Amino acid sequence: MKIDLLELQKKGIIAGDIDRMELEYEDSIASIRILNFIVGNNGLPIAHIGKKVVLPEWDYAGMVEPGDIWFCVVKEKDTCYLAYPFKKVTAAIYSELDTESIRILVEALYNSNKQLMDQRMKELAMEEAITKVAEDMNKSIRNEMDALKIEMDRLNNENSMLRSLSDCNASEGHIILTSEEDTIPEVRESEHVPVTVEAPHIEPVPAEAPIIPYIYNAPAPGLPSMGMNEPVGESGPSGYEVKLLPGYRIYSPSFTEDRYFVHISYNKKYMLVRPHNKGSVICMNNQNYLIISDLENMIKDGPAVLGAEYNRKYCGLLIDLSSVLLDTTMALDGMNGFNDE
Amino acid sequence: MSLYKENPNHRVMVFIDYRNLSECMSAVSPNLGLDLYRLTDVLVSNRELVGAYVFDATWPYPGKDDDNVKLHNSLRKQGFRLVVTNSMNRLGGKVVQKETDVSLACEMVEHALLDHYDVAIVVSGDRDFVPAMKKVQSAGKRVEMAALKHTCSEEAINIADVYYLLDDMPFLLMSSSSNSGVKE
Repeated sequence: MKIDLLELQKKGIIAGDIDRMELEYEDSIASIRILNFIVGNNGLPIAHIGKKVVLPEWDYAGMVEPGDIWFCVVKEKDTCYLAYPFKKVTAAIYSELDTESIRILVEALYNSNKQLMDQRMKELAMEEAITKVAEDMNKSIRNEMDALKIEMDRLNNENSMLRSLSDCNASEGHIILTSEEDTIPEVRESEHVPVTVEAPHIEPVPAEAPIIPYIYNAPAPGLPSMGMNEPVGESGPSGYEVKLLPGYRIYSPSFTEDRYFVHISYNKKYMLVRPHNKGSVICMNNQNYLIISDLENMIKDGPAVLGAEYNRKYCGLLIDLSSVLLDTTMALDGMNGFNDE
Repeated sequence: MSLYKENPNHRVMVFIDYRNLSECMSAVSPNLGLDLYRLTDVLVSNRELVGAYVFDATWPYPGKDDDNVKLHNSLRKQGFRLVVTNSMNRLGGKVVQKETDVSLACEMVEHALLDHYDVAIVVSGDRDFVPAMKKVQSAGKRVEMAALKHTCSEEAINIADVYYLLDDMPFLLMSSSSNSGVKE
């Protein structure tokens, strides 16, 4: 931003210094500018006028620091400008100026940083607006919560009062009706009301009851296992037909996928079959049977019919192997765990 | 019936004493794969799993435990957090692991005090964990225990809020050929 030298002189902003400058550069085309110095590529302070670079004159370079704002006499030299700083713009400078000079200075500073300052002003306004909206919302939420809390307290009080009244009256043989839902039909022991009771609809018991009704019995003292002791199995409409064929092949019409994950329990009594595209057991050529060589030495070879049901907990077909188990004792009881010292 | 119900909002952390379990398994079923992924999946059920730790010890000699290192890495890939110490030792003709129990106990108590979980599942029946389990319960957490019947101490079963009997739980992986061991 160009500052009128004569006007500043008139206002006394640059009184003493400008005479010297004028004398020194009386034959030059010079102007006075307020320059904001930043760090140049070589680490030295530079400023810009338009697209041209302004360099501090060599003699003055030491007194200008990046970030400083200076009144400078600026002289064009070749492709750049040379700046002769003569007055640093600091907060203290405002105390030396009258109102009009401050206005000129602020206007000049504002114009030189207009874009930056406008952006900052917008940000401040936005921040303020957001803060205000958030405060308003918080306040309204707080008010709403307070109102709800008061209402809740009132209802709790009412409830406890009604309950105490109910207890009190019940002990005296009265019945308190607190709401329509709680309406109790007025039937006294002495009055015999003829009631027709329909015979309850009893589901016919399936011919083949679930083979594994309670697989996970609570094993030992302490709380029983969660969920595992529930009857988790459920048969399909036609049940699950599973057979053990010779060669340790497990056959079922429901084995229609290519690969299965097959897991067996530690006591070898239960086997779980789940279809999975990365399964380690392959269903042979869509012939509905799985060859599981690991079963050798664990169970007797087929043929045999195995009990099975779909298990929701395990998301798979749970097959009962206890009827074909080779050694039911399995020498497990004598085993001890790994030694920890 | 159990006093405790499965709550899908509960954050569950699983602590597995690997050696305790694997030694028992391999003694009875050397060809079967111990599928910790499946075991954890079943134990956690529909609850939120926030961390599954496997504690193990290796021999402090280079090259002696290469298979175990491979196994540990595959467990890491499945999402388990491995805490492995080079503390395997031979004592009076028996192989023992040091530090593992205390590591597990520390981890379990620390996470409980930092409120990182609501339910701790300890896969081990070792009585040494009883004090840690009590501390965790004191911090307002539920402690569940999963162990084989013959490796589980009576004391630990009594302390645990819920006890899972692993004997009946199908989590040993089988395969068509005895050497394949594809894991989920």
